[in-house]
Amino acid sequence: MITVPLRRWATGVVLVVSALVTAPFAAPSGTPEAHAQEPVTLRVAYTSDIDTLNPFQATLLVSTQLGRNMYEFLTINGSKDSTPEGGLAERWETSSDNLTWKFHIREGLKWSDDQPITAKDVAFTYNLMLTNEDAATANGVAVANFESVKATDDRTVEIKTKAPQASMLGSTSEVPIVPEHLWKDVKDIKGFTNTEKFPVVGSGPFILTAYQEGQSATLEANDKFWRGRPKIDRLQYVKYESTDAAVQGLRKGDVDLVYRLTANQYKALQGESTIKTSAGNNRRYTEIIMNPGNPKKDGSPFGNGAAVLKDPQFRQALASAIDVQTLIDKVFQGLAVPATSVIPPVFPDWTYQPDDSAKHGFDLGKANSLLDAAGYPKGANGVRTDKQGNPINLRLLVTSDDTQRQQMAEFVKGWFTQIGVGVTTEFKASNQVNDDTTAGNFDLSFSGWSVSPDPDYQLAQQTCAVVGTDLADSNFCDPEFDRLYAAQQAELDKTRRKDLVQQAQGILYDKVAALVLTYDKQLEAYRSDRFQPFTTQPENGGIIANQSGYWSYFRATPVGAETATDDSGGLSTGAVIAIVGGAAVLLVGAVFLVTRRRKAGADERE
Amino acid sequence: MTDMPVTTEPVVELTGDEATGRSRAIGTARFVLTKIAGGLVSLFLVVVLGFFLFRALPGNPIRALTGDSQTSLEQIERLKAEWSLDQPLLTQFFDYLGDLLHGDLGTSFKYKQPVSDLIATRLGPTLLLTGTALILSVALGLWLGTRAAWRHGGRFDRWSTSSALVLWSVPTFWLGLIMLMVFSVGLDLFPTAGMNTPGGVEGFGPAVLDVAHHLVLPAVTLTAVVYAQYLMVMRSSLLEEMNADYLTTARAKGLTDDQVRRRHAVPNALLPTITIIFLHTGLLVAGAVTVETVFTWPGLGLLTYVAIGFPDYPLLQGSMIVLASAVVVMNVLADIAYRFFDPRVRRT
Repeated sequence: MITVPLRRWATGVVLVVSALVTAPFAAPSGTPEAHAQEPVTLRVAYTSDIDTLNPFQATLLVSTQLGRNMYEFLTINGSKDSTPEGGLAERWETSSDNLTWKFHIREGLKWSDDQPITAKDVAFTYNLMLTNEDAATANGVAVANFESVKATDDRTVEIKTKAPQASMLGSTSEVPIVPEHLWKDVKDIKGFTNTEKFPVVGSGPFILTAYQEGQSATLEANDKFWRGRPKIDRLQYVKYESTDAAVQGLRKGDVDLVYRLTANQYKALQGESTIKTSAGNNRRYTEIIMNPGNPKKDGSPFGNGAAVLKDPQFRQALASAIDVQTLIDKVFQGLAVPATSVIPPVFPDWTYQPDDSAKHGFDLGKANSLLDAAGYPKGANGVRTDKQGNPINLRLLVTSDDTQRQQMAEFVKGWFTQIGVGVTTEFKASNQVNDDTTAGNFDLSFSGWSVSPDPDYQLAQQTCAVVGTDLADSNFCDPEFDRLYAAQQAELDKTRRKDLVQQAQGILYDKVAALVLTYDKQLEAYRSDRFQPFTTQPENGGIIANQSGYWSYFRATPVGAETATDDSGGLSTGAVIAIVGGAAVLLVGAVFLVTRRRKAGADERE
Repeated sequence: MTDMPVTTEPVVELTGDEATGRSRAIGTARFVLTKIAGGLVSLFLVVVLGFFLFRALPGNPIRALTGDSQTSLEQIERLKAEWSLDQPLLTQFFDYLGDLLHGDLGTSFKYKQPVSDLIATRLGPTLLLTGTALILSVALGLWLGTRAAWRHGGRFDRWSTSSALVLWSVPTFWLGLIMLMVFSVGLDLFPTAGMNTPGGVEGFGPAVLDVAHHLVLPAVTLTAVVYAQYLMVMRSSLLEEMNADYLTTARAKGLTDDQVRRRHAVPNALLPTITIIFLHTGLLVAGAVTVETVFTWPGLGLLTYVAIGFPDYPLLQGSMIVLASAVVVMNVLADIAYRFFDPRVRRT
């Protein structure tokens, strides 16, 4: 019989284990030094993952964001409109053949461990990426066109390129520069997590002082930062697995900034007195890509797209049959703007605006007459037939976990039906949608991209060379576009390059490389009782989190002179009461069980 | 209740009426060895199936890794070669088996760290959460189940049974969020996420208290959702014993109602419950993805779930082996334990 030992044993276990078992998980403090007063801490809730904090290996967005705060770059995308400006470099010039770039490093720069930052650190970082494949994982593309990099003296870096590279400052604004005196001893770049030793020596506005995988990253203000010490003492990235929970964290005050809200969460937070919401113009766009049947680079066919999609006139008709404003009003709750092409207006130098006469516009009559003229007659049932006389029916891939895209699909299907184009919606998991679009097994599919400040990469995704690869956006292929792309790549004069980029996007627009729908907004909310409005990027109506720079956190200013945050480490009175209460309940339960046992007495033997 | 005991079929052994202690010992040894061998076969099948099934998942780990950043076709080819994804599937499989036999679970695509390290750091938090919840829910379920059955049909029975079933039926995610809103945001008693205060707290004692503080809401939520199964199994098996003759005998001996229940009825009704406790102990390491998601508890279930979305093959394979091993081991233990707890099984 087991009842007696089991019960006593279980009671003991509950009490002892609950006390002891939490011990191994107790986190060591990342900041042993005592502050005279509580440090001002900005806590940012993140919901996606950190892969690694090794800047040569980190590719996921949160990781690269941390990298931007830990390390200064040679140049950095400005807060005003993301135009590159000086970071470690104060100025630069190019040689007359446009192949050599000379960057002049600022005077008196220091790493957080007081060592000087010199041109040698810059050359070391780039050369590591050029010679060690593992160091090229994250930003290899940025240095792919580099012939050689050397430090000609302590304050001059000379970069020779294989071919003229107009996107040079875009590249130098992507690569964190690491300290040579520490990284030269790292033998295995791939296995190095950069969390082996704290604080992690850096040059950005903050220094990484603690990291708990899957939970939080803690950074302290860097006194040695060349722009000056940030106004806040500490920056913390706090992991939330769901934005719903993160919103609760914001309301309670466990975090100060939450981004990537849904429209519903955003609207719900608008009424709160201590919270300010922000719908920032983002660098993302949403589109419907088509499979225009262009062959891959090696000449092999790409998937099984409907033949009608090869016809630019047919694609133009589709473009005129989508009412983007209705999508924005009904699906995005007004929180998006109509898009024209692949470069969003947050990059004013590069974004594209078609002439009024060239605009597709929403006009079902125009769409119908375009299709009539192109030779797709309407059958008796109202469905048009293609050149072979078969009814036109397009498959539209929709990610099944994205309600916005599902709603948009219904609208689009309705409009296309009105112009005689049948649509079959196929709802699939996002990984499956990606597999199908990469394999070309689709006609239409929802898609979207996040765009870098330099236009080069986004334009490269529309070239013939990447059709049918993971890099392709629209699987578009047009020799004239490719020519313009190559020309802008080598054009170091910004005015002339702007013109080429406009012309290239003009082709994408006129020939409808894709049905680009909206420029999205990033919905964010922060504690306005603790922090003054943040510097956004772009400064006028931009985003707070996920900037191509450190502006929002570096310039974060607490409200008032006194510290705005409450306890960062210790337990609140409420917490102590809660724990004591929980323990009391357990104790009462245990005592109850024991007394029940006693009451039974010793004389109850059968 | 989907979790019905599955190991209750009597184990047939070839002892006659005059079974000697020795033949029983031989029988036991053979029984144990058979069970262990069966467990090993199951594990091997998990290894094989896991490898091929995960590769049949939609998704492309290289695209997942390079999705947020700029990349090139050369870079993609290089990653493919580095991860052996350019090799034939069978070659990959035998390489994987070879590594596995050397105790190497491989390197995670996503986190670029050894899979065994990643799993090891997540195992502790998982066991802390699910273990606490198991102890609480078993204690609560057994106690309430016993009381409910003994006075079945009464107010206590109706109340405890129906509230347990309501909690069992509510969506875990919703219940978790409600707990967050009431006890964390509303009453300001508990933190909203994680296992520690970000950045940690100073001193060992406070740090332990800090973990306990973070543990309360997820553990209570998990307990609330699962204790019904212990309650219902305990209640129904006790009900089956209620009219047994030996209880009448016990009462006739003059034992109090309480004594009859605790000394006679409960021990006999406990067997099915022990079985499901063992089975659930095996599932402990799998964690509770939903609860871990709501409260951002850094558990193994969550790690596996995120790995599926990538898909991070080495991490998936590794965690699958750990999860499956736990279930297999606990099943074998349950089979063996059952023999010792229930003399009837042993004597059959």
